[in-house]
Amino acid sequence: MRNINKWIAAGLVALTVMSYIILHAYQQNQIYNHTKLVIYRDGEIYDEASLSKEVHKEITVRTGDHFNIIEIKGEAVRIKEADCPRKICVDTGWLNKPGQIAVCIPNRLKIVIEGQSGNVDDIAY
Amino acid sequence: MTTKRLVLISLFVAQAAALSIVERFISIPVAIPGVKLGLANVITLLAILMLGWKDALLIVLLRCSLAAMVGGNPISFLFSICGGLSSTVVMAVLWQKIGRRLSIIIISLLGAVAHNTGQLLVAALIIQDLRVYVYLPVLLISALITGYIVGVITLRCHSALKKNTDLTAG
Amino acid sequence: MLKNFFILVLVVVLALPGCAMEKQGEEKNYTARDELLGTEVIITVEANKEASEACDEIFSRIKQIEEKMTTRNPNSEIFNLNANAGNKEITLSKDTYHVLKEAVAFSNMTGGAFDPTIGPLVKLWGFDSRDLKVPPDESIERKLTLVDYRLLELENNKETFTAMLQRDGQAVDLGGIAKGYAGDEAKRILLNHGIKRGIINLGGNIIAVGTKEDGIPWRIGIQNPMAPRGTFLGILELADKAVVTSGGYERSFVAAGKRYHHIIDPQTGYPSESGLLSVTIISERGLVSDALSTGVFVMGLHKGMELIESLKGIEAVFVTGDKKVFVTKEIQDMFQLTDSKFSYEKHK
Repeated sequence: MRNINKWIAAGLVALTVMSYIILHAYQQNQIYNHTKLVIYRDGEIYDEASLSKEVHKEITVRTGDHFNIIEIKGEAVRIKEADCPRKICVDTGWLNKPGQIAVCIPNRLKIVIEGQSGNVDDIAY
Repeated sequence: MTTKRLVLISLFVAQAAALSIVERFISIPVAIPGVKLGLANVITLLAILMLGWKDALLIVLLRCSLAAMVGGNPISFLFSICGGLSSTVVMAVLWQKIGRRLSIIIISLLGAVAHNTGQLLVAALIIQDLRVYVYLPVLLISALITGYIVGVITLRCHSALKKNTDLTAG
Repeated sequence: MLKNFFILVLVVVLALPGCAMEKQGEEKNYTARDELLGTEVIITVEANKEASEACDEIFSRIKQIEEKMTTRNPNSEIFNLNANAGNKEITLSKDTYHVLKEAVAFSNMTGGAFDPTIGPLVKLWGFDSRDLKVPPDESIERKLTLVDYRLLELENNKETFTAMLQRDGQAVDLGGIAKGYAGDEAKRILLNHGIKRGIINLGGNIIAVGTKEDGIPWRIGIQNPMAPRGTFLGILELADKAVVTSGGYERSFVAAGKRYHHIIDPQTGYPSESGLLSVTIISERGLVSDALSTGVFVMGLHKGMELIESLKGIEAVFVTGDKKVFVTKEIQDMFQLTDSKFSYEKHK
């Protein structure tokens, strides 16, 4: 343990690399998985939608006197418009990987992309 | 509390607050509002090295409050405080317990990691969702980079300041 | 010293995204899609120099099938057959005759739960035109007399195929079997071109050709009937099979607070209320899976399970209204439930 600094530095790097690998492995496993969008309003599930290539629609969520417009296009989603003061939610832009989140804190809205457990090559419906 | 100490603390608070405010204009690719780089940690680390952990903590509290008063909001204040306190605690403990054997840069790195992880945890609490961990890798990388930069700057500042002040506390 | 080490490490760390991108870049599949049979047809095969040609041929063939067997185009053979119901026999091409013959066979097998002469009811409810409405009981009663597969006469006289519907007003609708047939044709064409691995998806009807690379079976998800399309509740591992799901959730409308779906029971004239949310049939042929999925959905869990268990090489997954999943014994261990909101009822 002569040069403790080297060890710590190496440890930090290892940690960072590992976190990256784990996240990526998780997302790679999920990417072929027909992800879906879950919209939470006030902490509760408001609506869900499938993110598949054919879908293109907009969902307007109203919370009290406020609103957010969510747009789904291709396999991605974004908060298109909102009446919150700083519009950070709109600036977040497009989400397309499981685990990605966009929040509008003033309007108590949260949209998350969720994958499904196990991966499949296609779905019979 | 000598006058010299008081002046140094005030200067540090002002500079740290200024850094906090300026870095609002730099955004990291994370969809969570409020997560910031943590450049003010230069001041925090200098304070730990030159004034001791108690004063360092005071400086952090003051500069977060000051920055929040200048165009901040409750949420960003929360992020500032949590990030700031996390890194202060970590860096102070490291300096106290292990001290000189650790490179300043390493201390700064660990402080930056603590800063960012602290902010991520707060974000998780605010949006009631642990899934913010997806942002962990990018935040860790960001912590390594800013931690390094902060460390280098702190080193330079420290050696320059040491010459003129004799307040270095252990 | 530390500085150099650190810079090196930083470079490595920043190079990570690059490595990840590379892995994703490998394109070893060829995909083609088209809008046919009223839905999207997607063909995914292993990259192969004949892939493009094969897919073009498949789309042409499916267009041909559609032209012959649709109820809407006046040039189609089925349209002609329906127009001459109760009047005279008409000539058919070999494949249309073949599909009709199979349809009658499955009607027998399912005791009339599957019935290709369901046309008048489909039209009455508006499922063919999107002019959806709940018909009055008397209209349904009247149309029911026209729904009877036994009144469809098919003749093969030395490769001349003819057919006739005996009663005026009768109509054949091959909606429950044509996609299955199209899938089989698509597979045949792929194999003709030497393509042995791929998935053909016709609006949710899956033909899994061969296996994935290295003999790994395909993993096919079963749609959760209570969630948005693309959400699955379980996974089947299989090779060289046709997987077709029938469920009321695919098409329905609401009138006066009640939901009416598109799978009409040929016995009652109303959307079937067998207690099933969906049934998935797995067999070697798309035509078989398609026809049986419609029929078994109408038959319900018990009669349906009994029928499928009696058929060799054909398996099924049933999802009931009380969120239970049942499968035929043979595939018990090949089905994996992934949504805990449903319960998997294994055979004792």
